[in-house]
Amino acid sequence: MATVKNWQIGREMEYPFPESRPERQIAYVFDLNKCIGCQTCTMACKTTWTVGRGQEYMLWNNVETKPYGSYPMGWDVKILDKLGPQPWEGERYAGKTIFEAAPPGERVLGHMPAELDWSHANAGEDEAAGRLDKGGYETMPAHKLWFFYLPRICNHCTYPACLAACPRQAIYKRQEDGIVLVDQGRCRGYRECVKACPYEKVLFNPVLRISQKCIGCYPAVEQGVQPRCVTTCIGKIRLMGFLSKPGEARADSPMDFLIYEKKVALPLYPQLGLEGNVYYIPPVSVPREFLRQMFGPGVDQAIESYLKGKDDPELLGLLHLFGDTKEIIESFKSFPATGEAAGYDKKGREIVRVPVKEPDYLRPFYDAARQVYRHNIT
Amino acid sequence: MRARRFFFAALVMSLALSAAVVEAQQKSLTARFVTGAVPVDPAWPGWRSAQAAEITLGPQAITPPWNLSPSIKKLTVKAVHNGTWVAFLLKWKDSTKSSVMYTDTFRDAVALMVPLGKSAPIMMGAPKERVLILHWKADWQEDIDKTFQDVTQLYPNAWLDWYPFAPGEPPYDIRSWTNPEAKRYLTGWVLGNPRSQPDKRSSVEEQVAEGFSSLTTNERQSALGKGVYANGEWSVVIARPFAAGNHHDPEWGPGKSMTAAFAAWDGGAGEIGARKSFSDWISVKFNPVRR
Repeated sequence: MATVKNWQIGREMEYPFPESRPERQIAYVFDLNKCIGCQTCTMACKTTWTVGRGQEYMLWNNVETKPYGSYPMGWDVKILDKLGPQPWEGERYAGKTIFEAAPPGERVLGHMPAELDWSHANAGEDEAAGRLDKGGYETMPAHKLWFFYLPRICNHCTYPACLAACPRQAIYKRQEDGIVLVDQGRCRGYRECVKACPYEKVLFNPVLRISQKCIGCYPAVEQGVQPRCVTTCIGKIRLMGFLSKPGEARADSPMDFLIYEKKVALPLYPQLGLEGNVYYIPPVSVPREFLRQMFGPGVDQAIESYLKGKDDPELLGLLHLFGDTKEIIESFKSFPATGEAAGYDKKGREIVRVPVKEPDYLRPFYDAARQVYRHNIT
Repeated sequence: MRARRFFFAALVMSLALSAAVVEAQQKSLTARFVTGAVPVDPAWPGWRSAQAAEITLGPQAITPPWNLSPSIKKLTVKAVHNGTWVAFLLKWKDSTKSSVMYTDTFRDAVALMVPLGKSAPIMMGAPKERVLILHWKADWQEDIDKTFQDVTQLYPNAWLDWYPFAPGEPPYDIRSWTNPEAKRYLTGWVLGNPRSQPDKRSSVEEQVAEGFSSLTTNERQSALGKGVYANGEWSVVIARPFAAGNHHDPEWGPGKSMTAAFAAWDGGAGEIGARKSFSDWISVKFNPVRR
């Protein structure tokens, strides 16, 4: 075991390999306030990558309804239950990561899903099971009931548990973009990775008898294009970019700005210790206790910054660049004078420019030219 | 530092276990000379007259993941040769036949390891001290005995209308997917991963290793095998030419002596990869050729 720095838990931790951060790290921000669970991302991924034999059950991208939905069944509660209650001390995680909690002779504390756990993605979610005559179960300031959609892909972790657990070293993290891949020629289907990944994002292909996972759409990323799940999102909740190493943040980098500077986007279950690189803007109407368990102690600050976004031209501008170009935005700029925001590629070429506020148009209720009344005049 | 102490403790424990294994087991095996073709069949009557060695297997506790409570603790091994080929018969008790891999199940397997030089560490060799590993797999045997375990065999009630560019029609047979557009989605097959090949020629994979994590499939595959499960027992034959004509030939042959080690996996107990039980080096003597 080596000692490595994990900024998401505010301390050093044990990991089987020494710290080796890639030259560039792929990262994503998903705004959970905007996800409507339409599954367009899921279908875009499915039709692009997992239409092969033995991949019938596979969803490299899935969207589940929280708090009760999960794919595979109970992936989150099962690993949290195995890990047991663990404390945070402010920004520092004082509990054990899944590497530190590994039993003797294991590299990772893992959980192996049963085959049936994969068999009914979203079954029963968003369906009323019965009538509640005693009123709402949860009491909240603004809503009686709450739920939200959680879209999930591989986190292309800085410290991948799948990579740590593979006894053959058939899993590698690319230096050029930090994407984590399973070498399909070298894999022997031992499934140590399937068991080790707490997010359960490595899946076994029973026909080819090897394990497979989200590849971060690397053929697109290599061409400067964002992954399919990002570009097809009709709710424009996703942005993919590159995250600088801790301490090397650039103010004009979309990922650095959202994650390091404004701290509005948070990792999923940072306490597990993998330093995942999919970051979520937490949903504002969900009980904080639930969100803190899921996204760590930064939840309150993230929601506060997000809600102040309407008065923050830079943040507001960047949030409007989500889903507006298929190209990877390397840097961005906000123009409060004109009410616009723009994104630029690697060479500094402007690739997208959007108005932060749509212009208002007011039309007369009665259209004299057509001799009709309008139902909608704005 | 804690990790290093932990590893040291693990190594001591493992060596102690290995020592116990050596005490308990038969330390030598003699391969009898036979005329004619070497049998690749556990039912060959000549096995009855071959000398049997009881091989004790111990837990794998050297490299993670460990297997402290292995399922298979004993193998019965016999060997014969005909001057050019050698065959080993390996038998062990296993209450469940595991020969199909679903997403959460594993297959039974057995392997023998031979140094490629004078000797090699028991830990799957070391750099410059390579070993030859002949690994029999129950799922490969199933592919050969029945048919390739495709979706149709694994999930008989499954139905899928369409796969991109796939020739044929539902329920499909991937052995006919020979066009590159359809094969694009069959990564392991295209990359030559032996596990993913629909047409298996042998149930034994011939491999070399020079330490943990280095196991590599030989380019030339010359080992043959056959496994039969009956009455709660596996009987597996692994056969190979002494000289397969490549640089991965051990220094074995008629009239010579060498060492071999054995390992076994109980798929029903979740054993795969490093989660195995294995023996120490066993002395193997090959009787001279008699004309």
